[in-house]
Amino acid sequence: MNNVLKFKNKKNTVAAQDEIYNFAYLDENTKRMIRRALIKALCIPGYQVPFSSREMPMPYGWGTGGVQVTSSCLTTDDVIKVIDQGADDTTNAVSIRNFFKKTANIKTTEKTSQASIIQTRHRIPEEKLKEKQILVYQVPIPEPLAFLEPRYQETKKMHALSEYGIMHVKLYEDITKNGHIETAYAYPVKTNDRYIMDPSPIPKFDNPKMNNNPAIQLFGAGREQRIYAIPPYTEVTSLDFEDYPFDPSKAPHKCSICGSNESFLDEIITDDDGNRSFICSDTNYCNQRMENN
Amino acid sequence: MIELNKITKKFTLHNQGKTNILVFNNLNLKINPGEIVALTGPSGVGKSSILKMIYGNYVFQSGQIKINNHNIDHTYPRNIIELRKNIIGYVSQFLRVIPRVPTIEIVMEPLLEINSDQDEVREKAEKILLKLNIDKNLWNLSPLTFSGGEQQRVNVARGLIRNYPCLLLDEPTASLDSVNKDIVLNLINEKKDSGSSIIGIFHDEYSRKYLNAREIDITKISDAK
Amino acid sequence: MQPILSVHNLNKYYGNQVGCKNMNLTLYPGEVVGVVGESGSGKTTFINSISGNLIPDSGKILIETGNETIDFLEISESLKRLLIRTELAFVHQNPRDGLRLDVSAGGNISERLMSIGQRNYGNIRQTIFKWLDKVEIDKSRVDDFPRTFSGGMLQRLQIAKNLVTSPKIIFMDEPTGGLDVSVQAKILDLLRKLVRELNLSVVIVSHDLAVIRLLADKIIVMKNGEAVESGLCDQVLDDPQHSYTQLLVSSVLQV
Repeated sequence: MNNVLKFKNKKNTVAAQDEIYNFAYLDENTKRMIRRALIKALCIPGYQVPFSSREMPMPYGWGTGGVQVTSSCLTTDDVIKVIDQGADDTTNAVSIRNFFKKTANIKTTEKTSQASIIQTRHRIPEEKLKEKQILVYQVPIPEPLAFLEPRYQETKKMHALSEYGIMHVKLYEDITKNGHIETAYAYPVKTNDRYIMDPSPIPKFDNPKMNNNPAIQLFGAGREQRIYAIPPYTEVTSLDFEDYPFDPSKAPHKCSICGSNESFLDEIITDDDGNRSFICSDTNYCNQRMENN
Repeated sequence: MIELNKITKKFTLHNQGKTNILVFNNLNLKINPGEIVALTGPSGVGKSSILKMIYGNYVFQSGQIKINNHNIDHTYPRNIIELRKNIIGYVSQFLRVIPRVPTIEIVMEPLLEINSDQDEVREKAEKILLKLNIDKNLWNLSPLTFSGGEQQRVNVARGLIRNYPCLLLDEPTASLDSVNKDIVLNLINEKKDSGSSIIGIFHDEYSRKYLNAREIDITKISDAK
Repeated sequence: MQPILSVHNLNKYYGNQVGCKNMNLTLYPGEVVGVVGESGSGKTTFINSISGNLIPDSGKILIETGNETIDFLEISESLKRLLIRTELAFVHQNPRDGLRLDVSAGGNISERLMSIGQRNYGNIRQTIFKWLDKVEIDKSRVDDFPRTFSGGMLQRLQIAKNLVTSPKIIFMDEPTGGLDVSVQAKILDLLRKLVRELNLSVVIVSHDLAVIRLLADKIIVMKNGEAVESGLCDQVLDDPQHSYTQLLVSSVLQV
């Protein structure tokens, strides 16, 4: 009974930061360690910096890497937005938003333009990012070479020596099998003309947005204990062949809610007869278009 | 020109009680350009060994072998390889080839080492095979399944397709019928007339006379017994 | 002419155990050197030590690239690996060790091309077809996975994969081991043709004297990690001087 009251009380007053937690959950030493890793990552765009990933109050694969990075970047003035596959209202996004509300007492938003930090799983918002914004990606497998070369020692060497021929073998295989490059997400990129990087499983449609972006882009892989980054205005190119250039295509449809021709779409099966419709994966973008109309 | 000066050759059989067999002692021999020397003597006296020493297959313990003024020196295998590529040709008694390789390619091979024009080389190989009466149907088969005489003629074709300044022949006519024997002997005479120094082993009087060869009995030119 | 590869006083120990000891080798362009000896004689240790697979304890390995002489044991790791995937090639006894089994035949052949910066799919395909033809694999198999290939085809694929960048020096460890004799003959014929056509320089390890006789110009006979005899291939086999070589040659079954 007491507990219920307490809970209610908190909800009503939007209570101050919970005293049990340090600001944004992580202790200051951990944040300092992660910030060091972040600075190093920003200095060497695309290079995977190892860090000592902490146990977080959520399972691996649910964004522990992203949460640790966000936590280390947060200040009391920040406004945070969390999206999962573009949506603000999915379980994971809501949970993480609440997590920071609770542990950092921080303002949250669903509006891309109003957020100072956006934590994302598998999308880049449709709305153009600005300087001083930070985009934090949740990364499952940071090593782009992992599927081709299982030995970690070897991939480290390959990165160090820019031995990237094998990446094109993957694309070559795609073309021979399908007549075009079939890889549609986690499409490998080269950052600052040096490191080959896994952009996390964002659709290849989003790849061009990484290039020359005014915002800071940070990548955190909690289980794999790696952090990497793209500083603002950095060249990011998608790998391809001269005669099979990179094509950031998407489903050739319109959003059936807002009618947008330009945004990345989710396919939704609407009934048992296999009818389907396409809607924007970026919910905030879709909602704003509806409001403006 | 082939010159052998004061050659000593012995075999040491380490695994048979270190037996020493002295084959040649103070062997001297000279073959001039445009000359054919036929080695004679009973079998086992070392006729083939002389050819093998000249070709570099056998080492010798002392003395000197000079081929067109190049020393056969086993401390520099590279030089012997170069000599074989450019100066010494060798027609052995037996055909040693990779199984399943067509006859025509085997004949072409020595010429391809100095001429990369496949068509031209093929033409020459076909010419010499025709000359040696190797049936056209056999050209694309491996010679390993041929009769003894056919194998020998393939071997001769391979050895004589090029014009080596020095030519070593080990029983090139041994298993040939009289018609083909004359063809091969004529080919050898052509090489002689073009200025090759030729040394060979011919088992029959007929061949030696046909070639007008200078006969040398080995037992008379080496001190070894 | 300069040797393309020369090895001086090379030693490799496994703890107190001799891997290979005081080994020397000179390889000229277009030359094939065979390394023979019984199992455990140090052949594979030797070829691994001179090809960058193992780091020898002492010695010198010089590689002539045409413009400069490279001290293979002194250069940086990055240059070494660059050499290994451009100027050098290694053909393993088991083709599965040298191929990516979950990548198509064409993909295997293309890897070295793309690692030296080729980025035109059409051109790469052309080169792949040219090499499939050279190693006598049917063009229709280009997109098949190596696991569907026979042993002989796998070996030919491995050879194509290694030779596609026209490496200057090729190391082969028992390339015909484990193949039946008729397939072995085809591989030998292929290797001989390629050696002549592309003027390849090869170091080949084999316990099979017949293979070495057919392919090699020079030979090194190894026993207990040391070279007991070396020289011109047919001279060493026809007129062996060392007691061990005599034993080895006389142990071959005559067919």
